[in-house]
Amino acid sequence: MILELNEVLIDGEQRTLSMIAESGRLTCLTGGDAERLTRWLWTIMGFTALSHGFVSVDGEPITERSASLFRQLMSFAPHRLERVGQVTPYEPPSVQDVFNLKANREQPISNGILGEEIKRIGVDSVDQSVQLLAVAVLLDKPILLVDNPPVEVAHYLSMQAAKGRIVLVTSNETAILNASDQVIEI
Amino acid sequence: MQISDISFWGILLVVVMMVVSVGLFSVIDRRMMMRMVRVLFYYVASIFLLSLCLWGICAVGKWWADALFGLLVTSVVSLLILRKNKLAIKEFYVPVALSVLAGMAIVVLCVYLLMTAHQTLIIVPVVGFTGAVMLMSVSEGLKAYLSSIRNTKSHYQYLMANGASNIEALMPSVCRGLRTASIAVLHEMILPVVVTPPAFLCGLLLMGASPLYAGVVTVSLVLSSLFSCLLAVVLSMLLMNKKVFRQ
Repeated sequence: MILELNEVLIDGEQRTLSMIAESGRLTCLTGGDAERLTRWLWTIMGFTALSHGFVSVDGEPITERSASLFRQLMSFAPHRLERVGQVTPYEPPSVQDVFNLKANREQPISNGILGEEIKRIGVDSVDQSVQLLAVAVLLDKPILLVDNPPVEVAHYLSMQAAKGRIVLVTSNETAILNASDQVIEI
Repeated sequence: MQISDISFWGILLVVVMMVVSVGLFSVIDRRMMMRMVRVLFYYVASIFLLSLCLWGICAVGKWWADALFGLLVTSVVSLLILRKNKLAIKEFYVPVALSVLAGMAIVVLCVYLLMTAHQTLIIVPVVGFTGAVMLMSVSEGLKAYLSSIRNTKSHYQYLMANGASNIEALMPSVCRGLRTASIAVLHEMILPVVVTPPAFLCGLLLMGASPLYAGVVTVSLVLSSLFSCLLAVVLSMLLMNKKVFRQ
C-alpha cells in the first residue's frame, strides 16, 4: 500500500508538501511546531480542505466525499484528548466507545487485550498517549497515524511498521527521527 | 372579578413599595434604577397587551384563533431561544422555529385527544405553559449541545479519525444536550409547588375544574412537554447540523 501526498498545500502553510509513505516503513513528519504537524495528519485523513495538490492511497485520491471511506483504512492516535472549556458531564471517548463504532465492531477488545498491548509498548500505562496508541494499534488498520508519540515508543513503532503497515508519525524528537526509515521535513 | 373589585389603597401600597425599591437604586446604582424602570414599563405594557389578546382569543373561541396564538408563541419562544444561545437569527431561526412548532403541535394534539370538552378554551393556557417549558428546556439543551461541540472538538475528530460516522462522533454532544434539556423539565416536576405547573393547576381550578381533572390534565401536560422538548431539541440539532459545522 502507498500513501502519497503530491504538491499538497493547505491554509497557513507557505510551501507545498510531497511525500510517499509505503507499507512496512516508519515515516516521520518533522519540522515546525506540534500544531502544524498535527494539521498535516488531519489533511491526510481528509479533514482539511486542500488549496493545491492531492492526497492518495494506492493512486486513489482522497476527496471530501471519499475521505470517510479511506479513513476506514486508518487508525489514529492523538497525543492527548482534551476539552477546551466547561463540559458537563465530561467523559472523554473511552476504549469501549471506539470499539463500539460500527466500523470497529468486528475487532476483539477486552481489558486483557488492551493491557497486553500496553505491556508490549513497554511504557508507563498511565500516560494517556500510550493508551491511545494501544487502541489505534488494536484497531488493526493498514495505515497507522500517530501524533507526537513519546520517545520511548520509537522501537515499538518500528515493530508496527515491520508488520507491513504504513506507520506515519509526527515528531521533532531525535529518538523517533533515528528510528524512522524516512524523515520528511515540512 | 372586575376592576372595581381592586381597592385604591392596595394599589397605592404597591406603588409605594415600587417607588421605595426604585428610590433605593437611585442612591446606590443609577444604571440599575434606569434598567428597573425600563423593564417595569415593558412588563406592564406587555401584560396589558397580552391579557387583551388572550381575552380576545377566549372570546372568539375558534380553532384558528388558537392556532394564531400558537404561532405567535412559537415565534417568540424561538427568538428567545436564539437570543439566549447568541445564535444568528438569520441562519438558525427557521430550524429552531420548526422544531418548537413540531413539539408544540404534539402537546396540543395530546390535549385534544385527552379532553373531550372545553378544548378550544384550554389551548391558550396549554400553549403558554408549553412555550415556557420549551423556552427553558430547549435553550438549555441547545446551549449544552453547542458548547459540547465547541469544547470537545478533539474528541469528535478522534472518533471520526477512527472510523466513526458523523452521527456516531456527535452522539456524546447529543447526549449532553438531551440530558440538560430533560433536567430542565424534571426540575419542574421535582419542585411542583414553586414553578409553572401550579399556576396552570390554579388556572384550571379557577375555571371550575374538579381537583382530580385538573391534576390529570396538569400531569399529562408536563409529561407530554418532556417528550415534546426532547423532540424539539433533537429536531433543532438535526436541522442546525450543517450550519453549525459551517460556522
